[in-house]
Amino acid sequence: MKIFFHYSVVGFSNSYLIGGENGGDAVLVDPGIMDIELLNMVEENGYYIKYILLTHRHAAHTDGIRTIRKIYDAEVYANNMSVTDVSVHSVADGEHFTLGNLEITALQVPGHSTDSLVYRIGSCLFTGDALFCGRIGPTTSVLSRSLLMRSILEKLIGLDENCLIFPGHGPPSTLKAEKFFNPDLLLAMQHHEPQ
Amino acid sequence: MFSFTPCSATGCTNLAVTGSQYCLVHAQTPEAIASDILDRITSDLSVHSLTLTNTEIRGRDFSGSRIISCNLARNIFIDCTFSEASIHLSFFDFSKFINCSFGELNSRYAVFAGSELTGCTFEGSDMLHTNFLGASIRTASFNDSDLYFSIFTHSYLESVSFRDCNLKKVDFHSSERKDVSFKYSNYEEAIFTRE
Repeated sequence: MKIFFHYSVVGFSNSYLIGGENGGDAVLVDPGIMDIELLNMVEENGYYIKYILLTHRHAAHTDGIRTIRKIYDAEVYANNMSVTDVSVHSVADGEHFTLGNLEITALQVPGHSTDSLVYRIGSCLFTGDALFCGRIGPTTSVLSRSLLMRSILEKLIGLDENCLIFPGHGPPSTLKAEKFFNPDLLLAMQHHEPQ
Repeated sequence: MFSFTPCSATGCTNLAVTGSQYCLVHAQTPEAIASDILDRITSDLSVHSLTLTNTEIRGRDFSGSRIISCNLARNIFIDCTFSEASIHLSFFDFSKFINCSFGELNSRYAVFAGSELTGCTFEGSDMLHTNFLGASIRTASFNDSDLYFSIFTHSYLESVSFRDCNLKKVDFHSSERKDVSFKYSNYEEAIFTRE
């Protein structure tokens, strides 16, 4: 498995291209933009975007879908029934599914948005806007912030701390580093009572 | 890449290094395995998907190396040189760097979270989206560097110079800073507190 990153200067967001060692069908996580740089990355490495995974439906993570689908016959997976008028395969919390050679688990981590999903592929977590390096994702209310913190603690913190974190914005991280140093999570862990 | 194969030794939680079923603690010829991996990094034009953890690396010259999607976490680097090296989507978390030179480094999506860096220089580097979450950095210079969207959250910075740096979107939230200079840098575009 290879992972390539692409930074969108429009929404300041990250997209991740995931494929095999020698090209072929690939997965694209959160296409916030489809520009010549991303197209070159796909083509020069011999990939075909067969699948698109959306962590949530905000524009910074979805605006590239229409352009991509004019070039590639890509199927879209998300926690919604449709995104930008494109019908999607709706993915539920805890659902395991296989795309090409990739085994994927979807974890619902609401708070930033109601449809927020984290995708686990092997030791990699694609966290979208639920968890960034050094902070949790932005929320619009105290309640949604509380929900996001609880979701992260219940769904992510217990995973193998060797897991790598590939967020929707900012640099990558590791689960161990976040558990040790993320001020938001440290605060949440202080106040969280295991159920 | 990032497969994180666990060491085959019973009860060991370390990761197997590239070219072995075991971690360096349990491999039969750890020096030879580590030396082989390091030789590949220094001699090949670019290296992908290597794993080498929990070892001491002294006096190696990685100048001009292209290190892509590698896991070099939890190592100790002493008197090593990374001048004009490229580090993309690679993990050096929870490592120690003592008197290492990263002059004119090009890093994108690199992770130094939880690392200790003493007497290191990063002068004239492009270090975009680089993760120093929780890092402890003493007597270091980032002068004349572009640190766009890098994260120093919860870090400890002592006698560190950020002279004439691009600090746009650089996050220093919850960091402890002693004798830190931001002279001629756009520190007003960095993040020091959160609402």
